[in-house]
Amino acid sequence: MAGIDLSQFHAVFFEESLEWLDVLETQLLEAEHADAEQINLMFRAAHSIKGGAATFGFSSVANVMHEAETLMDGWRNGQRQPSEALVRTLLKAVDICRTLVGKLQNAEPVCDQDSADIVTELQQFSDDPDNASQSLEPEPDTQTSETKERIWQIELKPTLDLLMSGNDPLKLFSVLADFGPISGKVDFDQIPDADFDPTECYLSFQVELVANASKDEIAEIFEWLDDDVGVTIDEKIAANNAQPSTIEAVLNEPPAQAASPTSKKPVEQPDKTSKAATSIRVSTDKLDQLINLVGELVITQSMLGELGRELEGFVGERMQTGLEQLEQNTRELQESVMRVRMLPISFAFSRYPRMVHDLSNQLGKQIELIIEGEATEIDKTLLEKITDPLTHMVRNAVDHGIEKPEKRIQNGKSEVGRLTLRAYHQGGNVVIEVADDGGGVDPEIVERKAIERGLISENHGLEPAQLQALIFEAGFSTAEVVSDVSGRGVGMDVVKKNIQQLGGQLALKSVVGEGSTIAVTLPLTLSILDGQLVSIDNDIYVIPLLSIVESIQLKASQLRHLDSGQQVFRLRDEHIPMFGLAELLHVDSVQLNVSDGIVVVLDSPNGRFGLLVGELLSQQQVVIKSLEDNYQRVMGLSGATILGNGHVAMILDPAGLAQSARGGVV
Amino acid sequence: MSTSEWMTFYLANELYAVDILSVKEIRSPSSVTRIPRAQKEVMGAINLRGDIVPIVDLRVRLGLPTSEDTQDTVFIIVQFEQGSKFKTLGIKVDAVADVVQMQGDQLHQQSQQEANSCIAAIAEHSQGSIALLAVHRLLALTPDMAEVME
Repeated sequence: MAGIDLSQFHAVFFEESLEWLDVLETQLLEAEHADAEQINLMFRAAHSIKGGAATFGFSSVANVMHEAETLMDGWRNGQRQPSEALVRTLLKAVDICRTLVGKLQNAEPVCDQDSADIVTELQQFSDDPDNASQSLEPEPDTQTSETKERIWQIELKPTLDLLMSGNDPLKLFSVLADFGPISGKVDFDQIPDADFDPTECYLSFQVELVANASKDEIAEIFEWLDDDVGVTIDEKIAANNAQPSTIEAVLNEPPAQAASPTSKKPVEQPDKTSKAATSIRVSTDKLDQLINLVGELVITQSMLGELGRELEGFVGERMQTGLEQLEQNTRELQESVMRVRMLPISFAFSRYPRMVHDLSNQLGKQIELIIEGEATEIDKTLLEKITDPLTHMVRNAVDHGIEKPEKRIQNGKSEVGRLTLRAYHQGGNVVIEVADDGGGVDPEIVERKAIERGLISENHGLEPAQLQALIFEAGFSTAEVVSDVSGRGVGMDVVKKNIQQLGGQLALKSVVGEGSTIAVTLPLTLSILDGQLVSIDNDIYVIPLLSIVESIQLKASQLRHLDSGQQVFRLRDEHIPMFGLAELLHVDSVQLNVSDGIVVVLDSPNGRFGLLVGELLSQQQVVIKSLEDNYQRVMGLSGATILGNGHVAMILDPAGLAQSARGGVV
Repeated sequence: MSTSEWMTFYLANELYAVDILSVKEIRSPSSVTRIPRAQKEVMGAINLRGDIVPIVDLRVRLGLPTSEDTQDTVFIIVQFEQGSKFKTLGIKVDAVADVVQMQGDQLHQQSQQEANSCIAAIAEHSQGSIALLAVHRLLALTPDMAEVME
């Protein structure tokens, strides 16, 4: 596989890290009076930065945050108090990380040495909690300056099918960069104006390397290339100082796009290659504004539509025609805008092969990563927000899920563990699964830990599946050893929280000895949905059209009552439970007989069920508005919307309704 | 001594007040959509220029007998900060009264506060004693969905 280009995610990482650093700073300033929630928040901030930095190989930042996290873990456990000196040092760490991130953002070279001092300083605190240490004089770094450096000029003229042979110039250069600073020129004269094939390599490269390396050592790097790839390596005799510049400039752009000059803010940088006409980068703010405006337009349009129906006569007719046209156009506009927001999930998935590779090496495990359904499209906002939780889940699966080779062989499994990332559409949702064939979540271990940590009492009476689900609780971790990878018990509760905030759900299926699958069910988009309006009494509710299997009218005689009092009806070969909407939502309403209403059959991750409503009204697109902004999440609702007449209507969440029905929360 | 401005209103013939700085607008009652599973004092939500805003019936919140709306009944829309976010909330009251200035020494903090109380202080004023509301405590929000689900 050709190298995965992580640089497209760098911008997101920088932004997120800076935000988390701000959070960390704010909280640190109040550290002496911090409550458990605030300490948790600080810890999460450090953990998130560390995680991201490690993923992208920014070890300078990751090292600092790892130490910071260790210290804060002490606060969390009550083993250590935040002394003034410690807070000061942590703030210094925040500043240093901010500088480092800034440098990385500007593609300036950063090495671990830049953060070594602060790491040492932080370590002293963790080694000796009581002592506010005096900072050690760092050892001056004298290694590199003494050696004799030579300047090498390397020319690489790849054949068109270079990439197909599994070679990636980017990789070669990054190996080359281990010798010393490199700078280079890319020649893209060969890029065709038409018939551009992204799998072919049209570029050739001239690289200057300043290093204390022999020609053979350098040649070794290119050993794997086919003979017809032109590689020349010459020593440059000229005594003038070659400007040692950074490889990042080259590394941060995928080869085909290397033409665009490195910019400080890639997001706003228009692509200046010949391919520029086919795509354009737009800032997310502009895009979101557009989406919001279309949302408002949809509301206005449906308001006009309702008004227009009241008009009569010739004008009324003309008006109707015009309004229908408007509706059509609005819908198309909306669909187009929504399409702009949809991106294939491969944007999120493509960062994992590298991560899994690195992690498995680090942990001494052998893991085969299988990715399925990477073309599944998902809303951009969702995609961005799902990446962090997914990263946690993948890390967890690699770290805790899949066993070491020896243990796998003992258990009669292939020594190579298998991790599957799978995405697919189901109804109106996107489902993303992270599945491993590892040891599974042992309910007994979970039980022991949960009791130890006071999450549950000794006689809890929980089912094994419920015990397994405890891994999503705050402050829970089954890892026996705190590792750099995961296992401090922040991961999964953050995952759960994030996913719920997106209106999604998490389900864990795990069999001891066979592996675990975590399925994340997410709505396709966050802002607009096709809704079926239904009523009970005078209240109007919106059901997402995509969840509706069908609507049927039942006679009382078709209903069966189970012992539990649950009503079921038969739909072809299936027995389907039926619930009254009013009862599920706990709203007072006149008792509705099944023969007077309509049963809407809904599909949910927890199975099909029938919902008894009074009447079916119109179908229309609605803009999803948050209930949380001014209120709070409500079980069974995914939000609210504003109807054409300006009134508010609640949007039902079939998954939540099914859960509340099944969980007996009714 | 600090001076503050308060907007007073009537509820069951008693005077109450909210900090004028928190008041965004006063609206005549509009159609309220009830919110399932809401606390009993939450009448529902209204559309405030595209935002969904919950409305609290203050009579219910304070345990007073409910009454029919009159032509003086209004929603006072207030904004407050909660966990670094601004939340907007509507309060249904019988009638708005006045804007009054108060000196710090007129305010008597409620010494023994119930956990659930939304009265921050009682002020002595020439118009009588006025109960000052702590708007951020009007709505007892569940901080996390997780707790709702368990």
